[in-house]
Amino acid sequence: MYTLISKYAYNASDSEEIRLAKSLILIISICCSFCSLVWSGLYYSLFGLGLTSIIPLIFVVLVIPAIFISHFVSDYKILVYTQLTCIVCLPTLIQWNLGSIHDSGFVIAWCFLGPLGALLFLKEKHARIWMLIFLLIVGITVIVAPTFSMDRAQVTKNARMAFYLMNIGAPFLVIFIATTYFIKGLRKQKERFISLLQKTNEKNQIIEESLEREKELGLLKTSFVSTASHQFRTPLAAIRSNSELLEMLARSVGKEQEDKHRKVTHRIKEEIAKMIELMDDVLILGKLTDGKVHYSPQEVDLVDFCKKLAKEFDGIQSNGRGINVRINGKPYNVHLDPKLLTHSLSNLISNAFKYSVGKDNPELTIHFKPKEFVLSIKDYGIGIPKGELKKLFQPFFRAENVIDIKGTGLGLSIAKEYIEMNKGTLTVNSTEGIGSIFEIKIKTHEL
Amino acid sequence: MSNILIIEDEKVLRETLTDILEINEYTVIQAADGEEGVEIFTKTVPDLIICDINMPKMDGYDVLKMLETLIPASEIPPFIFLSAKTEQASVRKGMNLGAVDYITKPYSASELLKVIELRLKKRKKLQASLVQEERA
Repeated sequence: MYTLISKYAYNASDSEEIRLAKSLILIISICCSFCSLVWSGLYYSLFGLGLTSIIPLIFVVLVIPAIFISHFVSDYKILVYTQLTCIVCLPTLIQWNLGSIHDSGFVIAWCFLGPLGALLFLKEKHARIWMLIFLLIVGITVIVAPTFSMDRAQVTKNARMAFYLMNIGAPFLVIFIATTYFIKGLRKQKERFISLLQKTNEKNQIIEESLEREKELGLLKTSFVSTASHQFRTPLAAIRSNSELLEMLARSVGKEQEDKHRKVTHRIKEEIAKMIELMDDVLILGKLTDGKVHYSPQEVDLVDFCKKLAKEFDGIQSNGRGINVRINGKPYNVHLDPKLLTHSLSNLISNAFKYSVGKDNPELTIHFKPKEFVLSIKDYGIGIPKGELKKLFQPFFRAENVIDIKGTGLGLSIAKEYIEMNKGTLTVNSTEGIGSIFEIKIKTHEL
Repeated sequence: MSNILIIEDEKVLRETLTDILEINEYTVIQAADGEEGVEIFTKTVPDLIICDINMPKMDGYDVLKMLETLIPASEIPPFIFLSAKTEQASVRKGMNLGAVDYITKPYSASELLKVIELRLKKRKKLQASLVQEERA
């Protein structure tokens, strides 16, 4: 019932208040029409056929079409004006026609509905006009009504009582139903408000979270600037001072200086290499954020691929270390971009060596599963502090326990991006002081 | 021959600077971090200190603050910051703590040598005048 009424003269752009006002005026109109019909019957039985019993019927004839017209043109104002006009004028006409000072009091009760309705449905300005009309009507009624008298009609005492009750009861009935409905509507509105408030709160939370992320990003940018400038400056300082040292040495060349020369040039070369590595990482990151890295997959023999890569790493370890390659499951060829995987895997393997100096050899295991394959790189190194695992893949982030170990903080974030471009995931599991396991999972496609 | 203490965590930078200073006939003591620097300082007071700021364990600012708790500020040898921190605020902070100079990386060796020479000369003059005052 409620939903049916609330669809009256429906317009999607309506606010909650307008919707409530629409359903309220509908209820009032229906109630008044019903009362008018009863009224008409009552007057007919009291006074016989005449203006008094026809006037309530005029109300019904005017208001019922207005209900439909308002509904179909979606403009409830038509109904409001018709309703208010009828509700004020028609009872007044009846009172005039009946003509009794005693009865004219009821006009006041009826006419109250006019300004009340105007206050509810229209603007304050209109309400004032309605109030004026009301006063005018009451005034005229009070002056003119006594010239007529109900006593002229032959009315029994009981019938007169029923007439009074009806006249008092009807407006109050209308007011009562309207108020009940209004309160119910308010309650519904309150509920809707609360749910809306909850939604807004949720949205606020999302906004706050993204703001927090934005702030973190800002901090990251600041830390990028300082890290980049600090990281670039140190190798530059080494290069600059060593080249100056070279000049100083060259001034006093001697046989015994040759070793020193070599040492100095070696330092310069090393630092230049570091600078290049850093620049490369920064450039890759820039390309990644601009979406300029492309994914070009091909069929790869993963076992051969990993063994070759491991061999390369074994070759460059100065302290006789190496990485052990293990295979689980029945090997099959996979579909991926070998360049991107080489980069990611190299980074993870070089990390495994870098952060486990003096410990057991790292291990690379390939798990061939029916629907996916997993590359896990395990080391027995320093591990990652638990609180910092979450931020590990953020660009330029470096854990607290690796300050003494060289790095740009870019490797892992690039590795993760590359693996995600290969439609895989990179996860980490680590215990500080015991070691870390990085896992690359890539779903296999039908070959 | 003047004694110079270098406190610098970057091995390459520390060794290069040592070589540069040794070629220019200074004796150098190396410290790989702030704590080690302070420890060396408690044993032998050098003629001049060159100190990095960003270091693990104890940063350069804390090193200078620590030295002031060990001996009177007037007796602390010339203290020069050598840092990659180039912001105005970092420089001001270093100078306010009582450093005689603040050199940013990548530094120029010749400029650094000039500063060292100047600071050592001034210190010698100051010490000589103090000795004279005492005699008077």
